[in-house]
Amino acid sequence: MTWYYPKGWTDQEAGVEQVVIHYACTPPEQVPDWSWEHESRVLEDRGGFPRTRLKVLRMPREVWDMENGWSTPEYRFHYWFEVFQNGHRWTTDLFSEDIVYRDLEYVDHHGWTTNVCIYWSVGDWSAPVYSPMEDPRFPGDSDYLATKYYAYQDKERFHHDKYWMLQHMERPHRWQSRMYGPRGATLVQQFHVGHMWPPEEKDEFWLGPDGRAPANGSHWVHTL
Amino acid sequence: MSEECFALRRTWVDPAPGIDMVQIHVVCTPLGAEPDWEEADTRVLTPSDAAPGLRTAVIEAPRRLDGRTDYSLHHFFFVVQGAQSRTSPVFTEEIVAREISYEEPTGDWTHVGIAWGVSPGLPDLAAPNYTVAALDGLGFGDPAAGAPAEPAPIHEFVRAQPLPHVFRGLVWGPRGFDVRYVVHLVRSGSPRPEDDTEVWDDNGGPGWTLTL
Repeated sequence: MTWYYPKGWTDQEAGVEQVVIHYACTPPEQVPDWSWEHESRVLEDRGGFPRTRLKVLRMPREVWDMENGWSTPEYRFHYWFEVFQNGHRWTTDLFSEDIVYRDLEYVDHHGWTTNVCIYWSVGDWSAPVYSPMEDPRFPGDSDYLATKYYAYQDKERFHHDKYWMLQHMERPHRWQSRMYGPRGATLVQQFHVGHMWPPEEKDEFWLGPDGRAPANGSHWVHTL
Repeated sequence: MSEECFALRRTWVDPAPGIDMVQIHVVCTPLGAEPDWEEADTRVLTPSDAAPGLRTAVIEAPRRLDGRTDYSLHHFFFVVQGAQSRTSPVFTEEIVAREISYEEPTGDWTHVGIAWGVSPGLPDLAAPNYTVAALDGLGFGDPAAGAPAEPAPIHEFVRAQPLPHVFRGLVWGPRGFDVRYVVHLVRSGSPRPEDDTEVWDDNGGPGWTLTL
């Protein structure tokens, strides 16, 4: 699964016709070859005064480090904006950010939880991400991995079988997953917790620092 | 990581109040192939001011899949309402590309771009895209390319081509959807830099529309 990073632009003058973000990701300490590893996206015109523009970028969870022969979950994000304005184009400076991750753990002492995701977003709730959590002891080849849940046709069977597999695991259950973002940025975060078996006890809710909360309600704030 | 993509807005309308969250799961395959949902992208649709109950998300779809411009895009929605969640049926659409050609009789423009978007029903919601059109006769253009890092230095090559100049670029979307586009005319690399300029040809305002 990927994650999403909103990049915005505010017109400083009239006459801006289009803004494009050019970007590339590299391993730490490396610089991109813009002629090869380069992506570009047009920012969406959101109107207003001053006019704002936005593009939610789909970001990788890791970047291949060709020099060292491994993938790295922390990497460098390079970008600049190209602005078409009053019949000419101009470009901003080149910016670079360190993309880093934060691992979260949800500890369930009673084995009550059958499904849990980190629900999080960079900055505000404009581009939320679900990161399914798993106890690392759960079998990696199981059909009941959290990442397989959404497409699993027989949800009741999934709920039943996962519940019983979890019941056989020693407690506490330590559900884990990962969030990403640029170093220094804030992430907003809740958990989405499910108790899906037995059917008569089915319960599903968002959890924030104040307990159960609406989605995007009470939430934690992390600084990366 | 370089992958040429286009932006496509997907929509959902709440059938009743009380829905807490809607996700879309998306995966692309060659035509006729079954989706592998473990490869899917997932987006949370966020509420839109454009209509009551409307939620949208912009997904990214490849401009080519296994070298082909046409392929299948599969998606389903996962909906949470209170302590209940449910999954929609899987929808499969055929993504098709169409060529747009632009005949330029003067030879004044070195680059032609197509700014385009697929309407998801409401034209204002079309997610913006850009294709650099390739000039007939120049062998190094790719009619599927997105915006380059900077305009290619091809002024002399373009001037050497016989008139009229015909530029061709591709647009994409689900079959049957409308694509609205305008044309971006650029002159760069002129012997006198002050002659470099660009204009947008929008057909007097509305642009042009084609049905995929």
